Amino acid sequence: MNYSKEFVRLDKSIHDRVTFDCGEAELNEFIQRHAARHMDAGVSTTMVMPAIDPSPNGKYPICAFYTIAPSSIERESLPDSLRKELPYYPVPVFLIAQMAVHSDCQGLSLGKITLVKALEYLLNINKHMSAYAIIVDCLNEGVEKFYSKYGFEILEYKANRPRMFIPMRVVEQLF
Amino acid sequence: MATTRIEFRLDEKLKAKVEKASALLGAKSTTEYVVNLMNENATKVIAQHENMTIKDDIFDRFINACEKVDKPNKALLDAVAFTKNQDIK
Repeated sequence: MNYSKEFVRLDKSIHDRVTFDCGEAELNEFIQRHAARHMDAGVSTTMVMPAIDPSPNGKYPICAFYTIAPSSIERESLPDSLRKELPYYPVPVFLIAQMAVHSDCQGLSLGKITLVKALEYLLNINKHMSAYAIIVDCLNEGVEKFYSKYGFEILEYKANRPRMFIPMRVVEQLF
Repeated sequence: MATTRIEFRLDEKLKAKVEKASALLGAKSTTEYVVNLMNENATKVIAQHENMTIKDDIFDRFINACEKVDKPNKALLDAVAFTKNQDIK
């Protein structure tokens, strides 16, 4: 499957969601059943890299995708001293809510390309609505290794899954 | 002002139960009861989805990490250069 070198907004009339398979059931289900609905409801935005050649049904298979969403992080309780210079209100962050590469395209460095394009997209949003960091929830250890390789740090463990982050100030130096 | 409709089917027993609960709470109508319930739950679900609360020490470390200006690591810089070379839009 040849990839098209371009990420575009997911469009269910153009993109073949059903054939997407990255080997991880949760991510397959997301792109097949939830991504378009989440976009309609304003929950998240999904960008896909379509294949160059269409499937027999005329739609284009998805080689890779990423899904981003706005969020915020709040301190459990107020700081002892409000004179502390730390913010005590919820601070805005971005989520890379989902990210996956089709099994047929794995081994072609599409993972790092997808990550870089997601960071670049979020940096553009950051120019208008700035955030502290980009957060990602890791599905398994392999995913955690992938993100830590690129400098993401552990924030906490959420239901045994590592939640990682990279400061926006680091991302600002990339592009 | 309520101007739009949602219609859905439900189990007959559940409908009776909902009407009973609505009457017990003194709601003006089943609609009022269900609409309030939907509003409360939707607000909660959206807030949970859009906000995360973390322990104080983790939050403070997180903010400190975000405010100091670290350099991106080499793997990430290389990945950006690689993506640019591939001319990915």
